[in-house]
Amino acid sequence: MLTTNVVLFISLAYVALLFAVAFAGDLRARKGGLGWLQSPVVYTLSISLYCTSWTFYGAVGSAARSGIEFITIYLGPTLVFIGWWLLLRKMVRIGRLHHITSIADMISSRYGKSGSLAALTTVIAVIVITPYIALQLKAVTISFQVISNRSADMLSGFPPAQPDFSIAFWIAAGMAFFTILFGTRNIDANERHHGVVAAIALEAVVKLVALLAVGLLVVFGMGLGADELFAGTTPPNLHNSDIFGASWITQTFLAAAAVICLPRQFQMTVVECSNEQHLRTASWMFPLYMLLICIFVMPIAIAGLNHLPAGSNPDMFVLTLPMWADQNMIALLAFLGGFSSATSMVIVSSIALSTMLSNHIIMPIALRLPGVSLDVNDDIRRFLLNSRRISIVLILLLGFLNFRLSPQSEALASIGLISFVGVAQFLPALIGGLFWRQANARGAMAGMIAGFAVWAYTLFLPSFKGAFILSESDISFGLWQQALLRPQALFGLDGLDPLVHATFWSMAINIALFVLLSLSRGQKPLERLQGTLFVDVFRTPAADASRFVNRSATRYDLNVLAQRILGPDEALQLFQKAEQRHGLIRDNSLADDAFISELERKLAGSIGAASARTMISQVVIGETISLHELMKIADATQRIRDYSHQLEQKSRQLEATAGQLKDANDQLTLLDSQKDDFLSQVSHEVRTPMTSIRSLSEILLDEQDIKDVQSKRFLHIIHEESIRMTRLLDGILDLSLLEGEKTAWPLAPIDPEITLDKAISVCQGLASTGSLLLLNGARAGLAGSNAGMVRVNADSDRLHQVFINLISNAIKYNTSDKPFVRVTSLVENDYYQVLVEDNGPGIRNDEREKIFQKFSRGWAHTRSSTQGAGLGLAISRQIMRRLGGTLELMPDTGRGACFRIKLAVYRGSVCTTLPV
Amino acid sequence: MKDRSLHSSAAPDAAAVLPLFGVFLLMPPIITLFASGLDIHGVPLIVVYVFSVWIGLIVCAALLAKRLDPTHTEQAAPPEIDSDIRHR
Repeated sequence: MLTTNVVLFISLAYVALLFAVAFAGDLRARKGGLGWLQSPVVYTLSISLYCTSWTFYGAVGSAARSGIEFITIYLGPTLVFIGWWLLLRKMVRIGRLHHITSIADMISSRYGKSGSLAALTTVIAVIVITPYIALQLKAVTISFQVISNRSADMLSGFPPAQPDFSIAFWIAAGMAFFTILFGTRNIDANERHHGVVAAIALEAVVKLVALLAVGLLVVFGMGLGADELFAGTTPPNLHNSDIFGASWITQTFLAAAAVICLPRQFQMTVVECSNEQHLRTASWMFPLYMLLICIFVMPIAIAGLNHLPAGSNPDMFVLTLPMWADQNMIALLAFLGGFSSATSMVIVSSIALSTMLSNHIIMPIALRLPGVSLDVNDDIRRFLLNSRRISIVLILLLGFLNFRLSPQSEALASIGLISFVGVAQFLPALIGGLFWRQANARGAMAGMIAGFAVWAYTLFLPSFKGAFILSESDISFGLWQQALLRPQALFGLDGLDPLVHATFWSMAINIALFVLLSLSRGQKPLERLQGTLFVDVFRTPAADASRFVNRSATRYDLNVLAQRILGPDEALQLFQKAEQRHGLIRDNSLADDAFISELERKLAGSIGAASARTMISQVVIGETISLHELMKIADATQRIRDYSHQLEQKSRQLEATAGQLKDANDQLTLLDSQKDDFLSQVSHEVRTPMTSIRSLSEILLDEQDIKDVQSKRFLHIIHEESIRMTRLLDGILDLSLLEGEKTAWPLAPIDPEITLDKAISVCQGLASTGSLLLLNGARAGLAGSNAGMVRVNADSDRLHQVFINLISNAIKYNTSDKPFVRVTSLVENDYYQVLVEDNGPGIRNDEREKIFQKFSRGWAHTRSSTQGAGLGLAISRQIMRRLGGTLELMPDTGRGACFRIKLAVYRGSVCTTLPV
Repeated sequence: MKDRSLHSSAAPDAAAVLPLFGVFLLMPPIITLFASGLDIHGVPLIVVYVFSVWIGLIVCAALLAKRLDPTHTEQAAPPEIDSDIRHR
């Protein structure tokens, strides 16, 4: 068998190895080339710290006692890690952005950098982790005694007497010494312990190898197949579905909460995370590690139940089975694995807790005490380191006391679960803070205090079985004999497993108070700012935080502060970098807020956010948080809505404008084509007479023997054509003048009857040549009261032109046998009307509008000797329009055509010109 | 090409669903279905089931992890925190 000395020697050698690895890691980190220290595998292995001696020894114990229930402790973290995208990613990002140094730091930072919240979290953490450390001490002590035992019942797994508390004490002392050596040699601005991480990674490998070795021994070395394995005595509940109830769910939940909230896990997962990409690997590699650890737990438990004497301590099967199988090497390896897992837990937990204690309790108190002198350069750092060392000793002392006072019959697993429930009290404040902007410090504080109190009352104190604070009768019958206050049946909730009972009540009261107080009280500005920064960490860069807090301080003061805490070297580096970037000028000038924020972040890395804030605020001159800015970020949604509304409006306006532009363009295109038509028509019209004139002139010039009669005829034609062209050009000019509306006409009240009579007499000549009868119908001027009294405001010449045009048209285009044209005038409804009828061929329906257009000659089938230019009706219509009247073609009566002119009768005073 | 872009945008959603799916499979009532007295080659069904689901979740997480990049989907992560000068 192994002697005590051999075991001791091996243990110390192993510790020395760990220390060497840690030292090498630190050395390498200091040189700047982190290399393998920052690989995702090392990161994952350091997270595997989760598996302590509880896993190493206690899992088998739990499996032997209650079947597969032990696996909940590993399923919970598996679910959390494969769901890293939802939660862990956010925590890691915030941790890095805000230089978070511990879980107390994160909670306090989220709730407005509240110092009291940080202190509360620290106190709760220390008390809650105490049982956990006690359990490690117990495991190491018992395993040490077992493996170095020489007595007959060594395989029982029980120590010969009570656990040797002196061994436990020395083990605790050794761990304290080791931790101080490991973790308090220096202060990293980011609270990173690269050496420790390296050592933990190594011991994670040792742990796994040891457990796998024992497992392989059991399954293959002992010649047991799977069926034989499960055929013998099996742990209870393997075929029972009853265990999958409240207990199963509760333990999974607790394990999931623990992997997030345990200070040592937080340290490894968040604080020591150098690269977010590592999370991707850890998300599956860590569950894989746990799977490998668990794979042989069942077989070992069963083998122990079957081969070791009845009544043996199942917690020690991992150690006693190799001893029973005479495999001393494997037994030693197993001991080493257990020892390794316990020491790593104690080291990292102590470092994490001591960091929290020094940053959030000791440091703030020291700042307030007048007696403590912190003026000389190195003072603060030395003070910090010493306070941490003292804290480590204190923590281990508490752990030892817990071990000493608690009953020794407890299974390792149940001790650990007590810690799990305690640490789960951080969960509402932490998770709520990450996802709920409204969560505030009061809610967090109330929830945590209440949850902690319930935990202590229902689980922690009863675990001492009356040896500490609560007496035995208190535990059985309730405080002050109140049945409703029974620690294991609080408020009458009876019949639950104590663990489930405690979890239920503590979480329910915790969450209820957290939510209620967060909803009922408003937030302070800094809380609100931090809340938004945390919840929206993926959207808002941390640099923006400086926009909302405007502070200024002299560069000199900041320099002194930086030197005191970070040390002269780093302070110098920081200021030099800032000078390059921000362009700070020499001493005594004011530093801008961005620099102050950066310095605060750097200080927070060393002394915690709350203390850093306190120290900075001592040198800051002015500080305002612009509530206006805060409101703006809180109204980000509204801004976006406003902006998109503006965009919508703009685009609508643009559409309307585009529509208008299109219409204008269409119009221009139309006018353009109309102009082209007009020009082509005009040139056509002009060419026709020009052709005749030219050819006839050519004949006259060329021909020598032309007779007088013929030449006279030709000249006559030339003359006529010229007249025709002149008429055409006059008509065009007229029309353009009319359309241009540039000139004003002289208007006077005239008697239109006189004008009409004149027009009729002019046309008589034309009528008689075609033997056409020009009749006078009823005439307004002759009949009734209007005799000689009709007046219209018009230009007599233009009116004359219109009459002549109409009458001559009627005469020209009348091809009937007995042609006549009748002219009638009347006054009706204050309108003077003239009707010109003929009995000609009439006007076809499809030409009713066309005849008023330029150059149309309407009756294509009529041919007459005098051909007009086709502008007459167009001109007449324009003239009537200018005079304020109308010229229309009356509806078809089946016989001939009838044109009507209408003009308003003039009754008022004289107006000499038409408005242009 | 299309399939790949569909996958990469579906990855965050899958990552959100995977733990929920795990909870569904590993909690009552589903898990109680497997707590019957059956044995597979001598190993109780419940043991086989739990370990199979566990392995399955690990594999899915590994596959997803390849497709997920925490720094590319949203605003980039802050630059690496280099090791500052140590003091004694």
